[in-house]
Amino acid sequence: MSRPLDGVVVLEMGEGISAAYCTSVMATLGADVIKIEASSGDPSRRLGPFPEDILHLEKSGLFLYLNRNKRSVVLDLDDAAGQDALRALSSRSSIVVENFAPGYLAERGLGYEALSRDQQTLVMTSITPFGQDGPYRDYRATEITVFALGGYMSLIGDRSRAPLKFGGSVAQYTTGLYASTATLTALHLAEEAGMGQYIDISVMESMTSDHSQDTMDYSYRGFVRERESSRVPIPCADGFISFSVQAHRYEDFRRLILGDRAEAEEADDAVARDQMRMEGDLDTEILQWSYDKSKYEAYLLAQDAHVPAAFVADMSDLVESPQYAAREYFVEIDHPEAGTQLYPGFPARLTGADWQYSAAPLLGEHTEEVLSELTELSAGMVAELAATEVA
Amino acid sequence: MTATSSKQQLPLEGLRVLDLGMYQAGPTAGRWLADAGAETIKIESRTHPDNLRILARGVYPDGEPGERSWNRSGMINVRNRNKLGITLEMGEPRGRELFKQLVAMSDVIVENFSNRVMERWQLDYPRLREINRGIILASMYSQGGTGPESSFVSFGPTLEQLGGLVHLTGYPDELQGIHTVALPDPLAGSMAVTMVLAALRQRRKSGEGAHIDLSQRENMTSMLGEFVLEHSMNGRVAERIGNRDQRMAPHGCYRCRGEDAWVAIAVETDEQWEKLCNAIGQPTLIKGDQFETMSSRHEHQDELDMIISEWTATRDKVEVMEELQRSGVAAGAVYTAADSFADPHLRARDFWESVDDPDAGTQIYPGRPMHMSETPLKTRRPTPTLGQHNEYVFRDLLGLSETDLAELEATGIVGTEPTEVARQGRI
Repeated sequence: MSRPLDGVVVLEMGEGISAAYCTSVMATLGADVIKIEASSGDPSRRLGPFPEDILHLEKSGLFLYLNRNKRSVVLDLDDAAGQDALRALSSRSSIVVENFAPGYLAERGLGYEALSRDQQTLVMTSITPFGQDGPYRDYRATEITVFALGGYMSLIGDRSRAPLKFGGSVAQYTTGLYASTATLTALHLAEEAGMGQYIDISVMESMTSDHSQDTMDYSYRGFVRERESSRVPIPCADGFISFSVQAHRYEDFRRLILGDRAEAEEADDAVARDQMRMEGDLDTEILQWSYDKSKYEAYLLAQDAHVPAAFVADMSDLVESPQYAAREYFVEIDHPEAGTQLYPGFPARLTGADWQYSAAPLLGEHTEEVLSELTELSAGMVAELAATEVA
Repeated sequence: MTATSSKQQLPLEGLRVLDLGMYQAGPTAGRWLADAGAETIKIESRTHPDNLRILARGVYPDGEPGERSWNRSGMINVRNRNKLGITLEMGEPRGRELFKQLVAMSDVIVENFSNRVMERWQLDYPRLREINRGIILASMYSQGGTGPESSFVSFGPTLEQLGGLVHLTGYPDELQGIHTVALPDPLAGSMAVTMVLAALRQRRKSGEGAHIDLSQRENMTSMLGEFVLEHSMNGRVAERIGNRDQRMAPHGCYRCRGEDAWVAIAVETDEQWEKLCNAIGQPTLIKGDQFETMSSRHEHQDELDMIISEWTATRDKVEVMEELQRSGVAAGAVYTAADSFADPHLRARDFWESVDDPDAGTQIYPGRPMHMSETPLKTRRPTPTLGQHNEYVFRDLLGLSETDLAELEATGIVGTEPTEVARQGRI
């Protein structure tokens, strides 16, 4: 079966999460993603998690997840031959995605201006913490510091304790996803009207544009929203659940928690208009209902009663989730070094297309193959480039 | 095409989108398509306006709902710019008939209803395809269109729990409560548009539209891949670690001078550790037994955090950030909305946009994360008031007569005000 991005060649020059996730989405959709790595490899090869916690460049869980379905080409971008090879590859590409520090590629004659000279419909996307200009352009950043500047952190956590970051690296993933959408938006125009362009996308702006209640509160009424921690999930026998009860579900909610008593006791109409009060009002009863049920059982009972509910799922819950199993969301991928592991699949299905997964590439695995296939470089030159010692 | 005229072109010009989205996820997808130039028609009804017109959580100009409050909330106006707006009673046969006429002349439909709604209206993909073979239906389901939990109702915050994010978030000693931001919604909007663009490319080759079956829950878990691999490789279930990091130390959020003021600091290398020690006037710590290597710093984080907090506590959060950044250490002030609006960097990059809304006046909105060199994206029109473009869509596009439209208004199929029941939020 065909895939929607069949025939699209994407060059990825990136380190870590954002660019890799951006092109990983494209790779699943069928693009031929060529990942350019230094001979030392993408730093995420050193980040793990590793089987038995033993560092190994071909066994990093983060790298394996973000780079499946791609080919790896090792090029030294500080070297003239490496730069020539890169330009030769980009002239055959529809898309270039990179997340180096601003200016890094331009200094090596590999910026948008240079690369688009030979490929006028090129779409090139740069992902950085702060963008290509502005006073913070050269600021250092990690997940937590840009999450803080992006305004999310001030909204999460207890008022009496430090603001919190989300677990994982969701700011970088999010920006990677936005970059894939923006890049494919531009690809549409490039293919329809022959117009290429350059896209500058930043993590800080991705974060700041994401959460709107607090920015609108401030813009519309000068109100600075503080972080709240008022509704703590409800304990069950083996974990926690929570409800998201709206006014029109209040009767369903009362019936779920109170059973027969719901009919006998009159509901307070004022309470039904306030979600906090709806749940607060029945605090004791909710605990009596929940404490001896498993989180999954309580969640199913609530949803069966039309009460929007969730449980706090950990990784083993997800791996064992009947819903994920029914949709075959997780996939097994076999890798020559890391063995067969379980990976997240892809979160969307599309009529007429089918997703396939091949393992992340070994460092430099495809240098010779890709350079011979896509460039006019002489066999001798290709052999020389492919002979670069890796890590 | 001349260079000047090509500058005017937007990426998705010429496409028409029917946006049935409600709340945040669906309208965010529609907003993205509208920003990029697609003619995007937001479809609501008098009985079911977008819930954020009603559940505005007090976000009105100066806090005043005023007249026509349903057009005045920042919650609705931030998410629906560049769209046209109509009302159409989809529960009525006549409403669905008009909707089908729109489907025949459109490219994309976006919806984030629970998965029974489109079928109940007999507007599921196979039926829509009979009307228009090229139509692309993007269904932004909570948990996908199939599977035992597919009919369950959820919202952004519940999807963070179901998708695995909440378990990984929070102070180690305290379960995290539910907060007011909902990350899965904008993520789902972006993924839906990615899929729409993929489907458009597929359609160019095959002439066939497609049904996009998106699971917002899976979309959340897809951002936690390394934790899935950790479970697969080592059988380990990752737990929350607050503001700390598996590898880096020091790594945290530190109190600064002033009310509820904080700064996030992360040290990635030994070199940065040296710079941090010098910046905070503690050069003797650099080679101290407890702190010399990343792993020893990791072991002694409590002591480290106390030393750093002592230094930050008497300083302004922005000054701390600037001073550490000058030294080459990653630091970021914890921004409130007020800080974000005042931030010199976002201003220098023209991030904020001032938009004049018909019923909400001139307000400032967050812009977009992507800056496109040839087709800069701007707000060309504000969020439509309820039913603002009924005339254009029903008369000009569908060719109804003035009498036909009057008839639709008289029977409540279209209109510009929510019904009394809808205004109470009991919809």
